Amino acid sequence: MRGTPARNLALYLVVVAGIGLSLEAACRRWQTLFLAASHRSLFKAALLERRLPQDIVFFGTSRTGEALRPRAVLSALADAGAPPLSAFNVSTPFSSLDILQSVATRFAGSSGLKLAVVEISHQQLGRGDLPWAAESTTPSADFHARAFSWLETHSALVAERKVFVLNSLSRLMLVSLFAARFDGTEEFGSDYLASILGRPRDVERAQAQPISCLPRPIDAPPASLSEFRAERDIYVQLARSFQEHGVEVAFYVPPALDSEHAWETGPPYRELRASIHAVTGRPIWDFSECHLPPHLYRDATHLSAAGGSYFSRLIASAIAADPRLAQALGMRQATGAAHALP
Amino acid sequence: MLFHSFTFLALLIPTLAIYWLSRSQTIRLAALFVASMIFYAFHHWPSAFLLLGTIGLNYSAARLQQRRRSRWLLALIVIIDLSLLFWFKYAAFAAAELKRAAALVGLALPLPALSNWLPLGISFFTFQVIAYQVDVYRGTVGAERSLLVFAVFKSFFAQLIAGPIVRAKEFLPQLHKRARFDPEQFHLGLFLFVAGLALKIGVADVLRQFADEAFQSPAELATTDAWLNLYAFAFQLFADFWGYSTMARGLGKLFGLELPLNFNLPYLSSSLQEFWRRWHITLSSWFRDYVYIPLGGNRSKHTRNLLVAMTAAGIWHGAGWTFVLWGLLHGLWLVIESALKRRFASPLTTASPLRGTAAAALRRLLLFHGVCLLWVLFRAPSLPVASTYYARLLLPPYRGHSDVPETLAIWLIGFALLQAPLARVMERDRFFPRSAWAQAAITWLLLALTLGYAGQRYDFIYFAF
Repeated sequence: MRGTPARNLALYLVVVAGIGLSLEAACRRWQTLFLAASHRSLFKAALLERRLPQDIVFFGTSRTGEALRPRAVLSALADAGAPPLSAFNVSTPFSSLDILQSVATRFAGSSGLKLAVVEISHQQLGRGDLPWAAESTTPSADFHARAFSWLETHSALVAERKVFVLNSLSRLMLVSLFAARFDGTEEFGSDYLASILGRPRDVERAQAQPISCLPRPIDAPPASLSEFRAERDIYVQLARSFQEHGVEVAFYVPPALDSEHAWETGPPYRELRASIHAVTGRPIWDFSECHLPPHLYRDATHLSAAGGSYFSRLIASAIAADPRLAQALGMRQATGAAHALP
Repeated sequence: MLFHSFTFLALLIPTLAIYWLSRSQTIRLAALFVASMIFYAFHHWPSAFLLLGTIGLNYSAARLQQRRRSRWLLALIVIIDLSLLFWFKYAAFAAAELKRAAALVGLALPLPALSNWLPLGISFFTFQVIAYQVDVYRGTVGAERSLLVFAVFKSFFAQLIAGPIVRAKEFLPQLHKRARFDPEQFHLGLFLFVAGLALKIGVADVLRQFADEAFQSPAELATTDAWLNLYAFAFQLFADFWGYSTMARGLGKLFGLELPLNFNLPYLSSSLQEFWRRWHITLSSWFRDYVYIPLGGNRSKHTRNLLVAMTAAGIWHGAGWTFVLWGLLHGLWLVIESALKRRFASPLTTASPLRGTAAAALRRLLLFHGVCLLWVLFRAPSLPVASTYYARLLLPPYRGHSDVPETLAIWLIGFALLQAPLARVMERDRFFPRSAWAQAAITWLLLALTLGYAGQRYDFIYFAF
């Protein structure tokens, strides 16, 4: 650097300030995108945003991420006589009920959406504040905390600083450049790479012998819920927000490897499902007692790629078997081959 | 008060303004002293009185020493300084060990429970004044006449809590001279502060989570995880302390004051002796000049001197058997290394088929792993935890874990590769030839790392010492 030391210092400060102001402007201009990169649920939502309109959207936790594979569902629906449709899996690992509500409400009114399939599971019932919501400063907070909070409120760069976290930078790149390549089932870097290269991690036909796996019938509604009242209300509210926009909604309970991990078979969960079904009138496909062969699982509660492809077909046949859903998707008629292995 | 807080910025900015706007050196020094006392008292105000007391005591003792050179006076003031350090840092540990030892022979010692009050930075400022007293006694420096100058020398906030341990000979003349604002010094100071901040928040605090978790329950670790998390701790410790020292040097430069370099890429050393010349340089040189050489250095009883100096260095780091053992093992290693060096002149370069670059790389790799193995003692809260960790590192069953956290892998590789370029860019001769754009771009890369990982504020590790 040439020039006098004073000039060099001034120039350095001006350039640093200039870059800072440019970053601030960029954060303000693309605040939604930057925010989307900072959390996996918002990232998934941003991917879906770029893939709209979609006919079918799957909502849930990582269990749905593995269990419902859009290509497999669409292929099975096409076999059942559905017209060309589109689908996206907007589920995210560690999704709480509050995250589910936030994401589902955001897309309930999306044009073109015909069917939402929503997970009900032990994991999905977890509660918690939205991770991306700004933390409020407590009155006892020290000067540092209050100053930081003030900056977060007044500077988009500070508010969206999580975009500089390594994961966020890669998400920013993925959502900006390759959103059209993903169907939402990607979880790891290798999955995204495979999808970018046009070789998604799907298994078209599961190599399995025919398995009878029928959803468990929903119980009669209880007089009152012993647990999960608030959770039931959220599910009901969620169903209503879809229905208000003319979107069909169906719930499902994913399968587990063994009865030890099938928490959803417990009475409070059964009561919850019965209550949701009674209030909303929407179908609930309960696969909690359906234990698929071990090779179709990645772990006790997550299906493998093959398991996901297989289970997706089960869900597709459940959709096709429901006249109201089939009609919403423009299918000719229910196939009547519900729940059999496709 | 932490360097990486807005509270500190709120103190720093007005202090800088008063310092540079004032023409009087007395006002400047008074501003530095008041700021330093606020900085120190902010954490625990009663400790400020201890600091003031030791300033007064050591100032008076040195003045007396100047007038009447006395070995006894030196011994007295050193004993007083060390007694304070012992009382606050080691008394509780010594009492507990004494009780335990007495219980083994069936005695119940009625020792009172001692307070856990450990004044911040006491190990650092005690060593700083001991060096000063010895230097005054030796006549290397004159006793400082001005109480204000001496107070700033001992309490300057940039180096008060975790060093670098500044020598009177280097620092006092700087405080006497009224510095002219040097834009180049200020420029580099700003950059060093940002670089230190990034090392602390963007590297050390990110790696911290992995190391902390591993040392909480080491018995469950797979062999690969035990090693990876040990690397995480090794880099965390380095980035944390290097970050602190870099910020301290940057702060010094903002006030026109030069603080010594404390780290010089220690993990790239190829011998333990070299490692200690590059790691916590001001502490190593303190032990060399005030413990090892007075004991006889390498002239007589070299082995004993090394073991004593390194064990003392271990104890300096903390009150616990893990630290004693850590220091002792470093001492033993230095003794063996020195004996091998005398016996075989650089064996890997002359006798081994692995010559040149390959040999240097191998030596660095071995040195790094040896140092890492000893870090287990440094980090483990107790000897049983350390031995469990060693078992998971070295003994069967050897279990691998394929699911290495992406962040851990990237940070370990990234820091291993980037530490040298980062250290180079902090050098005056490498920083200033770059264009303003390049300097600003590097600054923003570091700021982005800091912003991205800014969250919970953690103390610097060396605050505990």
